[in-house]
Amino acid sequence: MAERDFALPKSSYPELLKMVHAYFLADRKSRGEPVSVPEVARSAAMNRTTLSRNNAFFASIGIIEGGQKKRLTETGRELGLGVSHDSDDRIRSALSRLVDESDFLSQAVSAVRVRSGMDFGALQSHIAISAGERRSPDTLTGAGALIHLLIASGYLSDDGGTLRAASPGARSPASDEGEVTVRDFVTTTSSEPRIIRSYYDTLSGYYRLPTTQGMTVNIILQVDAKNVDEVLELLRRLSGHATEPEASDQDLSD
Amino acid sequence: MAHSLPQTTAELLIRASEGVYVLGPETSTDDVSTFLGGSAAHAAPALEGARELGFVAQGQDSDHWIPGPLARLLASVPPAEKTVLLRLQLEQYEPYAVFRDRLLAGESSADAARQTCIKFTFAIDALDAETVLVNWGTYSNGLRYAEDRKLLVTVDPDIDRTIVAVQERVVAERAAIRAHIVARLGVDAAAFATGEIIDRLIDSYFDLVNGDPVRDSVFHLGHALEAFVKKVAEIDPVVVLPATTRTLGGVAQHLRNERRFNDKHHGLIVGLTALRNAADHAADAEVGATWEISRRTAMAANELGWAVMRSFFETRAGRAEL
Repeated sequence: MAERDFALPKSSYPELLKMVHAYFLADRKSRGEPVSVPEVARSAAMNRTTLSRNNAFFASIGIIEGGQKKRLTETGRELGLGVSHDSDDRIRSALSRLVDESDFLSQAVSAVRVRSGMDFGALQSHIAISAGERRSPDTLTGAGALIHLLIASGYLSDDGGTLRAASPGARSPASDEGEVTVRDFVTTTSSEPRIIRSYYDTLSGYYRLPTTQGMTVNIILQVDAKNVDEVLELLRRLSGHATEPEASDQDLSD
Repeated sequence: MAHSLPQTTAELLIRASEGVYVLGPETSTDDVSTFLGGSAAHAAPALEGARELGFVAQGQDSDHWIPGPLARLLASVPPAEKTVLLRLQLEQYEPYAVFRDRLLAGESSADAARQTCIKFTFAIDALDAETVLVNWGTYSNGLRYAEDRKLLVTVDPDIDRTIVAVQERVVAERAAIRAHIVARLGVDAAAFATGEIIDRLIDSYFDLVNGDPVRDSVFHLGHALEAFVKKVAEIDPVVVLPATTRTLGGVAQHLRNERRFNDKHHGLIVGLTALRNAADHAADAEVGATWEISRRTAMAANELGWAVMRSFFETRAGRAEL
């Protein structure tokens, strides 16, 4: 029994990002529980049919998962977070991971690499044929969206109209380097604060403080009775207030 | 001779050719589509392209395929050398030769494709023809884009010499692997495992050491075992196989019933058959997913396959060794 061909997207790349954002908003609202397509469409005032038509693609590259009700995968959530924050680095990081894990997308990159570059139309047709589709406006739109996705992931670059494959080592950092994010959970034990592990990915979507501009820094501290003084000292250091210890003690006693 | 220009990519055409070789003679279009991981609509043009370029031939009907000698070579070389083999065949494919000559005459790729379609009365849209010819040409390095994105024809007077070098290297590597496997089989089993048995054992090990897809290796091992058990049935006194018993598992079971195989050898072959079946691209109905086979498992399976063949003859000589 033959398997199904790769499901091409049915919308342009910017529209796909809007849909991922819609899933992200619905995901936050449901706190990670699966949601139905109408709920997602409603939460983002989006056409439900357009969303449904792209679900096979989203599932095939690992952005969403589930049956009737869908939920974002971990990478899908990271991508949604990137779109929500308008963070190119985070979007690139998530897309790069999706390309790494998709045979179809990796093979599209290989096709460009082995030919030492392809023009947009040639790669569009290559992707359409590889997906088992005939060339039509719909399939070319989908193939075009994938090319834009590959460019946004850093795997392809547009060199004056010729698409070129970046070697893995030469790709732009596909992480949050250069972005101010707090990825690490800081605590204190006896004397020195130390980083024990990262919870940022799982928590940031739900515990982001409302802000209209600037940046948000979330700090989560685990405190028990034995180290409360050290934690207070750590907070002073982090906030840049070198308050006299005596005054602090005084305040606390009040 | 009438030609066709199927809409497929160079990569699919090559993979389909390899699939026909790996799966064995008279493989069906459906089996190749499973091998490629896509639909039959996906595989059919790729197979037609492979036939046009001489990598495979039509089998008993339009839905069955036979590998040509170049299909094995394709399956035996790394990607860079696959491009050379495609180039060799492409240059001999008349529609491509006309397309290339029109480009050399100064035509644009769109015009050259349109003129090629007229000459060979292709029903395909000229834009689709251009897509396919450029796709195959750029993959094989027969065409390349200049700085101004104009398509250029590349000339390689040494291509024949390159092909010979590729063939010589493959022959040398296969000879080394043959020597290794023969040593592991021992004298009796090696003398018995001629023809398709040894060829497929070499293919299987060759794929593993060259980093080719693990599934291909496991398929080759399955073919080798299938040829082995059928040949075991022919050892005097011949065990006549029922007409409907053709599969590896079926033949092995029949030989067990006829006491040609003992329980241990039969059990090991059943295990290897299960692995061969797991290598199929289709989802396993029982687990609801497609099995991934690790290179280490496939290597162990090769070792086990050699051990069973060797042990079969050791046991016949009165030595219960595995």
